[in-house]
Amino acid sequence: MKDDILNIIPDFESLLRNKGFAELSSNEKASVMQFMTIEEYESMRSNTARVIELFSKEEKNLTIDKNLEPDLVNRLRKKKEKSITWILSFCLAFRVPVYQVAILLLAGFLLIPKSNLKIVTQVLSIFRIDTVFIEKSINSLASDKRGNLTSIIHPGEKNRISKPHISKVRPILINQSSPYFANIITHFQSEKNGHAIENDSTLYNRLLTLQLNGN
Amino acid sequence: MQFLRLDYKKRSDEELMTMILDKNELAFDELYCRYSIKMYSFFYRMLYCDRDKGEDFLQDIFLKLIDKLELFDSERKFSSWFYSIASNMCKNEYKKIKLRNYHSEVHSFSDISVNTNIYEELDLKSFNDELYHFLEDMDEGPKSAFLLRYGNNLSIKEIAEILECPEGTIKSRLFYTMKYLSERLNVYKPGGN
Repeated sequence: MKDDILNIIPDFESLLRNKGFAELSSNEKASVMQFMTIEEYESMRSNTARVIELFSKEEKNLTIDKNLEPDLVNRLRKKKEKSITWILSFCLAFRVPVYQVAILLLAGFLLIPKSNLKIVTQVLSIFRIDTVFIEKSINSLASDKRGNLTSIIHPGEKNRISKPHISKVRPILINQSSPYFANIITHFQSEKNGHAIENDSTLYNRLLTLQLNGN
Repeated sequence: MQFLRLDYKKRSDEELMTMILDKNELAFDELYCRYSIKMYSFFYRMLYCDRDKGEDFLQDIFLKLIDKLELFDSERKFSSWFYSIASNMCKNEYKKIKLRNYHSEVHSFSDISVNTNIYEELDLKSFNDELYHFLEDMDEGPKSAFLLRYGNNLSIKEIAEILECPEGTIKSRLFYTMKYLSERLNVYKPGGN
């Protein structure tokens, strides 16, 4: 008998249990015959059936001690009681009775003056709600991708940090010798003093116009 | 009360386990009825037909069930979980036996009464004795697979899960066990004639 029968017939065991050799299909017969004779197949089949029958009969004759189940149920019941009385036994495990400790705590709570209670409430609210800022010295500053520092430390002012202003406005090249330039500046100054001008962007626009006109 | 018992009979093993977790005694009773004989027969066969040891193991496995109820994974099939505990208990016992170099006495099956004629009974007894002598010589792994399949009628898939082996290994174990057993029992003609 070759050793690789299960590679050819993976469900050989179910075949053996359910079909006699005569009941096998021609393909199944051919596959089985590669590994064993008809007699060997039938012998294995009948022995399998006898083993199953024997075990089945044997099981019917096996008896278990009748006290075993009640003992187990008792064990389950004890486990149940154990879990119910767990809190009680936990309390009783202490030498100082729990109710005395509880009374002491209650009395202490009642004796605390109201003003103290207010402080306690405020402290609690700080802990729970408020954000507390802590002063901390800075050792390093953030830099951009090129490695340039984006902030400056002022050691004389308690290490105040400031960020240099970088204007996003395009610079304007103006010919300052132009008479128009002097006029705009003078006019701007007078307007500013007289609150006629709204902001510096008006000046910027005028200067830009001057540049575009080529002056 | 009877009505309640009938209701428990309809429940799955896993449902019963959930009820036992709540310390439901009737659910435990039902589970015990379902598995006590199956487990006892498995232990009895695995432990060299020693009835006392089989009973001790049966008690132990149910005590384990009670004490470690919380460890049951409800996603898993109860029977697979329970049989895997039983299989591990036997594995440990085999290790102990090996250490003690203990050889047990194979018990005879004369106490099994079968309603057949005297010749059939003698043949059956011889078959039984030969089968159990054969089982005694087997290693724990193939023996467990053989007994779970033919004694407890479990599927190959379930046996593979219990013994933590691929299904192919179980099929191979069953095939070779039956092959050698068949060669050994060939003197006993099928049907007892």
